[in-house]
Amino acid sequence: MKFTTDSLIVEEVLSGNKEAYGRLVDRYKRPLYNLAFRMTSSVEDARDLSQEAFVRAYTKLHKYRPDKSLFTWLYTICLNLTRNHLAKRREVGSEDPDRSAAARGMRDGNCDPLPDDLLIEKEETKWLERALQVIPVELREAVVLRYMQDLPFEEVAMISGVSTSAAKMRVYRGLERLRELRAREEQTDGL
Amino acid sequence: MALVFLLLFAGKAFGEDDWSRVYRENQAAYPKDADLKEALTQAEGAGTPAEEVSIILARSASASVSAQDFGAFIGHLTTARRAGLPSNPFAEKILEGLAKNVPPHLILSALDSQLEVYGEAKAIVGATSGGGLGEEALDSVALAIQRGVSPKALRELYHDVSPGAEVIFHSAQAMADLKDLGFSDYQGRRMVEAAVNAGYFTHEEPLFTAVISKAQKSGLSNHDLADKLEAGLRQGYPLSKVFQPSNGSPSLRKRNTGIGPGTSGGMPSGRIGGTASPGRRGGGRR
Amino acid sequence: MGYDWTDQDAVIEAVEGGLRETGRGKAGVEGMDSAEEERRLGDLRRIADLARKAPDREVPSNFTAGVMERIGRGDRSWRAAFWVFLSRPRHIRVNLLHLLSGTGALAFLILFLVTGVDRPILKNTASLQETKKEYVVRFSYFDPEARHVYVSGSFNNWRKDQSPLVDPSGRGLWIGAVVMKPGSYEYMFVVDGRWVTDEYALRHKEDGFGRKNAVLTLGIDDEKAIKKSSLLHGSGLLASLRGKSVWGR
Repeated sequence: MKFTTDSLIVEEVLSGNKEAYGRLVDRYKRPLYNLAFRMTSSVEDARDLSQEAFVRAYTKLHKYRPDKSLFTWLYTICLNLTRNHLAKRREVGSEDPDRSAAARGMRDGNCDPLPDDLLIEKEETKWLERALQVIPVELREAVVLRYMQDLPFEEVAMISGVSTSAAKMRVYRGLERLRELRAREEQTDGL
Repeated sequence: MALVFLLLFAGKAFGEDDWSRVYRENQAAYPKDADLKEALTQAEGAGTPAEEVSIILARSASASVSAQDFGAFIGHLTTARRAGLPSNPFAEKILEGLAKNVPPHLILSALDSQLEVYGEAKAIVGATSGGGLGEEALDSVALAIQRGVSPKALRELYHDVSPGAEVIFHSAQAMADLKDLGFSDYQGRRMVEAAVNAGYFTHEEPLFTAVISKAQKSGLSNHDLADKLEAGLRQGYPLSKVFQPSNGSPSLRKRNTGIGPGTSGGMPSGRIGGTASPGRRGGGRR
Repeated sequence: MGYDWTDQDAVIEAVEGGLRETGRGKAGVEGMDSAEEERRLGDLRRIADLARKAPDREVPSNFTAGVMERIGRGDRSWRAAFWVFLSRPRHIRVNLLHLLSGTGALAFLILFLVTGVDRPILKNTASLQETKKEYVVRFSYFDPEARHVYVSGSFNNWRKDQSPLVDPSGRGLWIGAVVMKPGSYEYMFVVDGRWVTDEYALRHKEDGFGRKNAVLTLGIDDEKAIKKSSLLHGSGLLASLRGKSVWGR
């Protein structure tokens, strides 16, 4: 057996030490939680979805192949759950209060005064979080995976279930849509 | 095997661990993170020394490492222990990274790599002797792999010569030294194997690398040097003579008595930069 | 002639090429001759850059506990674990000598448990021969410009301020000594707060963080060990290391 940290922990869990799974969760909870948050812009949804992803992965751990990347596998589970959740949200027509607050740019728990450059950066990040919620889900995925989760195109493609070429196209189109949104807002502000 | 049974039931392997203190310190440093307690419980259950965790906790808190990253550090120690490895090399790597202001995610990457290396080393050392060779031999083999020697070459070497702990400790570094001199793993293995069979590497052998390094200046290829050394040692020539044009008469050698560690290190003179000289080294008998 | 905006590979390359190089974007892209297109590319780069720099959110503090609780409630995997346990092929190697000695040991153990013989507490389960040998390792570093020089490594838990070197002559030859037990150690110098590799050490290895550590290997050798001399500095930490470090645990 190859001695990778992931395969060792998986081996432990499958040998009966359930508590060892907590170490796997600790290793990957930040990227999975942030993926779910960036896709949904909701703290509650992000927690629920990413926790569910870990629970699902646990039940399927015996199917996991050690020669594959555990990270990619977890990401794929989380992204699938997120997609289903977003589709359901659209169907039902419900608006998550967190998400609409984000979309309105009103959610900000930090009121401390910041230096100008940090303030600008924070505002820009908030704009991006809002804008991502407006563009189509598959383009949002691509931008989030590529730039915010910092994955190579091949992994973006694998997780999204498309070809590398299609992944690049989605990233480009996602950036384009965000650019257009920005341009429209600036035009509106200028009026 | 008998000793394994004894050890299994011999009580704590480490002095007195103060895990209560660790939990208290953790509560003070990371009061808001409920997940850390479980991580510490697992580390304790795996037999990780409390002092290691305590030092890492103090340094992490002082470096403003997030609770999640600290938990991931401790998770690595636990994983190593559960895999039958000592946790100390991983603890040292964490402390090194923190001292050098390395971002936690890079420290975690380094720990992942280190786990793979130690896994390879354990397989090599374990296969040689059933695992009773001690951590020094394990560390030396891991270090050789990290210095560029292929695990395959080390496995083949120790499969063929079946040495003791001390020989593994020194010969693994000799393999890495030869790698640094440009020899392939195959050439290195032949040369080190010949030296081990001739009785070398029961202690540090500075002459080994020095003689080879000097011989490289003669213009012979590494391939020819490897052949010469292997043949010379097999024929019973001492290391100091294997590359000389007339080797003199071979003698049945057990140990190299021409060069040995000095009784006092002294300081190197006239050198710019730094060096470490252990007391037992000295480049010659004094 | 403008840029081919239908070639997404090329556009991505142009966006990310800019990101890789300067974070600000190149002054111009080959084939692009319109200010409008340059502005467009610049906008794409800025958005990509913004996305890359977006900070991570902190995960809620009892996240893992929440997952483990749900797993515990569901308890769905024990069947899978049991199946894996039964079905996974295992290699079995038998060493008759070990088997015989193990049988003997088992008999001893039974006797031991039954009779309640005092159990020795072994301090070091890994290295069976506890060596009392120590080495004095002298470090030297030459730099007339340096104001403070320390040696930091695995022998002092990488403390940057624990093992200083001194320059008695004032001419830049910094010296110091550390007592160490047998084993492998890595170290660097810390010169006025900067990490400096000991280039004159016989052995080196990459530290995995972009720097190079010097490597020191001290073997267990009762015949060749020298007398321990007094420490210059760091006795407090080294005393604790002797009892509880990797080489003495």
